[in-house]
Amino acid sequence: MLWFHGAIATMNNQWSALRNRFRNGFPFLCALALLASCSRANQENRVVVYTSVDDVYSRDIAERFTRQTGVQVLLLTDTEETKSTGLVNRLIAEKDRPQADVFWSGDPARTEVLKRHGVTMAYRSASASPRQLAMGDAEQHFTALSSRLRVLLYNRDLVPPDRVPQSVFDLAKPEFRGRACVANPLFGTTSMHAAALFQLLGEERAREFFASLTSNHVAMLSSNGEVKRRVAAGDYAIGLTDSDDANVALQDGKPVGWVLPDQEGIGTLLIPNAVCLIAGGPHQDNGRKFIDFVLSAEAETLLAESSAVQIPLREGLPTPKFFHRPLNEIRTMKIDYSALADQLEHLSGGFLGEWVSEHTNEAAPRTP
Amino acid sequence: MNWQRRNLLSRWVGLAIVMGAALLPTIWLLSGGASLNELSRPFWGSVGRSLKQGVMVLGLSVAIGWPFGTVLALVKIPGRRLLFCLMAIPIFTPAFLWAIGLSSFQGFLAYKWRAWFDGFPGAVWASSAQTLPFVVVGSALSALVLPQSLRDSARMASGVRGLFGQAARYNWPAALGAGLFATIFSLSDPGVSQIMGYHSIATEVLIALGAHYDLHLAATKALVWAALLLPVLMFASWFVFTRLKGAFFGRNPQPGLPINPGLARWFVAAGLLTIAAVVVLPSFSGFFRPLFKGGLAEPIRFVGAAVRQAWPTTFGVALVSASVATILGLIGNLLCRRESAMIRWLVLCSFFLLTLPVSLHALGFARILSILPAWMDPVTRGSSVGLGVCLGLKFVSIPILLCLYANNQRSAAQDDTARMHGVPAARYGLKVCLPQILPAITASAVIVAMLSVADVAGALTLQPAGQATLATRLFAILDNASERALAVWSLGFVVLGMVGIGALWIGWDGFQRIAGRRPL
Repeated sequence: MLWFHGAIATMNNQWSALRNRFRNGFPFLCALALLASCSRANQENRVVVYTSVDDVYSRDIAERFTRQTGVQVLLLTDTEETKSTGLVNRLIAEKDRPQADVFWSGDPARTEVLKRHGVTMAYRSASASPRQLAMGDAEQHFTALSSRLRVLLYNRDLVPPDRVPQSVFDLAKPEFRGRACVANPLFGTTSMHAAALFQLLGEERAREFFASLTSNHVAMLSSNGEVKRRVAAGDYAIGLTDSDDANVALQDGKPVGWVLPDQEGIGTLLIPNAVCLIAGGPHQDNGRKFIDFVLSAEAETLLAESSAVQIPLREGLPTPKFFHRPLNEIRTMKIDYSALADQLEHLSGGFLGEWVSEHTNEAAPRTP
Repeated sequence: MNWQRRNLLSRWVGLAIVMGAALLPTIWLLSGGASLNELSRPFWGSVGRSLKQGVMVLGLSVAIGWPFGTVLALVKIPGRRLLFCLMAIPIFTPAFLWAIGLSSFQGFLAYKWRAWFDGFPGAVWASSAQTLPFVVVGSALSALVLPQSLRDSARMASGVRGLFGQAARYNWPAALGAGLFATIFSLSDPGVSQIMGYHSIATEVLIALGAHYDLHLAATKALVWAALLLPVLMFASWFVFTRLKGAFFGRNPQPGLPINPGLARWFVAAGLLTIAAVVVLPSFSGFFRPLFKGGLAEPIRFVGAAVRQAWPTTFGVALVSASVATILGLIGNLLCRRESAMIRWLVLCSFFLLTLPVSLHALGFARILSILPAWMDPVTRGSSVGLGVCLGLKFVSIPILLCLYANNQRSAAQDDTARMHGVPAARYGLKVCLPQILPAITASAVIVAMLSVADVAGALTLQPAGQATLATRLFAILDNASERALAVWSLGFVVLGMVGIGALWIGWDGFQRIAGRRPL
């Protein structure tokens, strides 16, 4: 029995020691956690960057910038799936006293929205190339850089080589009835694509196109990422998404292929990144330095070599091998980017808003 | 004057300040003005669909969760803690993750079955998986505190069936209240609707934010929805209030012992485990499917680095939000005492607060922080304190309701006796009231902390630049990390949460033993 009592006594001792340790340690742990989260508050040699470019790509650029300049980058990332709370809304909410110095957007429409809300300020970067400036804002509130393209992703197990779609209008072909998907056209790059179609085709033809999607039971998914996942999993045969999603699916070894749509017709949509300086940001000089760096050949090359396979806008830099041809040989939609934000606002409050509501609930089942 | 009615006016003012602080961020967004004319036809359609979804979710979760929780509380079954931990997973798992898992689960099914996990059925399934745990926990906690004397008399009168009948009569208001609470809360989250392709009221708010970038319009939509729910909320608050008053007179505060039905307890355990598995596994299996192929070393390294980066902020946010919510909840309770009108209003405001989306609350909070003096920035915007306070205010309904429930289980005669014998209020509160509501305080702090850890909408709006919580890190890599990394991340998130809950439970039992009470 002695050993038993001994064991109990030891356990009791251990328990009280543990309790004391907990009593002493817990407040310390709490203080440590709070301090750790406050620790960066007093450093001035930094720049605060909000970005909707995916974390895996933007972090590399930020780290490279810090190594070169010694300026610490406090990065706040977002994804296209963050529609409810996107950084754009945060920037609008913080407008009275912004925390951010730079907003680096995955597309120019959001920066245009910020410009209208008076969140951005003009900055003409000395390191911007003529094409970067030309594709940016005329008043220099944002400058364009590396671009993605809209692509049609297809599942190789479900689509034979001779039936590979070649146009966004193929989504409405009877052979893909109930087997095609797109992301919600109210959000992200799909909304830009929708607005671009309205700009190029005109109101009537664009409405007809959307009506044909409904009648062909094209599924509307939450994001381009989901389009990629569901096509790769074989839930759908084809889907409309971005070039970086297609590349990630291929790198993951998924049985997918991709095509640039409408190379014989209206062309595909080029979606440049856009970077802007925030008016009243606390570290504007560092913000300017960061913008200069992001627009540089080095940053564009990094983005091109990453799995985002973004096409450099700067003249003389090679297009990623993923696309098999240089940018000037790719037919892109000839649209007025600065008018897209207006169109988006008009469409989301009108036709597209209603189309999404009806399409979601009445017209198209989301399962093949 | 009755001491319950003393300082009534100042207490009303105090209560208005507490609830005003919680509601202020969303109302602040209306400051720019928005009009009802802006609400389009899809908005009104989404109202109907959300109501339909809400009724289904509430019905399902109460139908399954209420008996589940009652059995869990009354029967001594093997693996009870594991079952509780399993059922708690959806509470601390971000809603979008849950919905994505369910969406991926469709890959396992034949085409003809997939429609059951998409659109309206998918939204109901994913939301129910998140409301069910609240009903289970609510009904179980409510049945757990049934005194032994009451259990004995019920069993003597009509056997085990009588015991269950008695327990069910006692805990159904808690089950229904928890179900209503969780349903209202889940309807305000856009993640599920978005991923399941169901155009609900949360989608409408999302469109106002993500497509129009119009914070006023989003706030108007959310508040109109809350106003439309007002009759339901008023009924719920009246209902909860009347049940709060049903305290046992001079009951034994010790909870009774669970019954041991012998071999049958294994069958009961198997039945409950099956239900828990049906709720939890579809989403899990969909999400962890990629783990079965390829190496895990690289994803584990990737996740390890992300956890190291995110834990201080996550811990800080959970700590601050749980503290803020619990303290405000206690203050609300102290102000109300047993004053019927005040309790009714407090309950109504708590339910009303739940109908408002976290994203709007956070955006309003961000706007308020931007007009505060700059010297406050290191704390309010440069640390996890701002986000913690915001989430604490948003989730204040939880401690308010749980503490009101616990506090009102004490007989009013006890209070009167103490007052007549001149027991100082502080001593009475510390020695009598606090021990009685301590389980409610602990439970609400844990639930608020778990919800804060799972929150993405608030964190993305208020987390300091350069920092991230575990949920937002997970969110940030969602699109472009490898599927295996994402699966390891999700699994790690769930395991860490389960370990945390298990540790808390064991710690709580130890505390109860030290205090000479019977563990739950």
